[in-house]
Amino acid sequence: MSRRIYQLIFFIIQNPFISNFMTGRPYNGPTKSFCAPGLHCYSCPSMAFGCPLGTIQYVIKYAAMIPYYTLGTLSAIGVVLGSASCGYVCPFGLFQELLHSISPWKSDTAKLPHPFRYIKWGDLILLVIIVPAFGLAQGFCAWICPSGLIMAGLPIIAANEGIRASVGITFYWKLILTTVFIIFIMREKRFFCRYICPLGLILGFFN
Amino acid sequence: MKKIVIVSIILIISLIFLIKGWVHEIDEDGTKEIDLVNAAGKNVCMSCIGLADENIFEKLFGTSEKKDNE
Repeated sequence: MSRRIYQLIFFIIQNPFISNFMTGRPYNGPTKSFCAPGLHCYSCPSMAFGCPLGTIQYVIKYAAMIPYYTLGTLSAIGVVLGSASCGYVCPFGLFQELLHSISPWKSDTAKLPHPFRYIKWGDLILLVIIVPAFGLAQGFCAWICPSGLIMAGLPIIAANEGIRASVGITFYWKLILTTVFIIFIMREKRFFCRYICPLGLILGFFN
Repeated sequence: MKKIVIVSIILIISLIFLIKGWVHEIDEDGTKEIDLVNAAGKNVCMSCIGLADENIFEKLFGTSEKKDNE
């Protein structure tokens, strides 16, 4: 079976509640206690599981403690599957590959200089750990995550008039940043995974 | 052999962390880490969808209004 089939199967497993897009409300059943091993916003209406990065930031920000549960989940996944979970399970990885495959200006050789790969370290240390630890914000989710905007923000805002009224500068910032990411993703395969995603970095530790 | 030992140790530590998340109470009300994970997942996350216009400078340095009142 090709990798794309696995990606689609895992996408369907993670998103069984498609009808929730009509109401703009996320599923809130018991499976939300488990973190999926990919970058998939837990506020996405159809998502059945939790987002590991979002959960880490939430626990650090609101409980000021080490997120043992999520780290336990990620280390177990990382040591068993390693970065394969990025290639087979992550819905945002699938989104990037589909986008790149239909892009008219894709390039298989395009790569940013090597130092750009350290951006994900900055994301992890500064936005996922330090900013939430000071109780300031869920840094990565609030200011960077394109998965949150595409899979949760846009559908929820489209379906929910009340939430639409509270759109502010952060939303427009994320919209611009996501557009920039999409342009780069269309040029370079899995651009976001290569340079930005701290989840792949965490899973890579245990690979 | 060395690889198997390291993988086993990491898996055991992961298991301990997972159990701690389910069992260990983090405050006097009996809240567990898994309750936080649940709470995070069940609500619309304003940060994630780009609606958390949090004023970082205000949080770090306090408001200028407060200083004016003083």
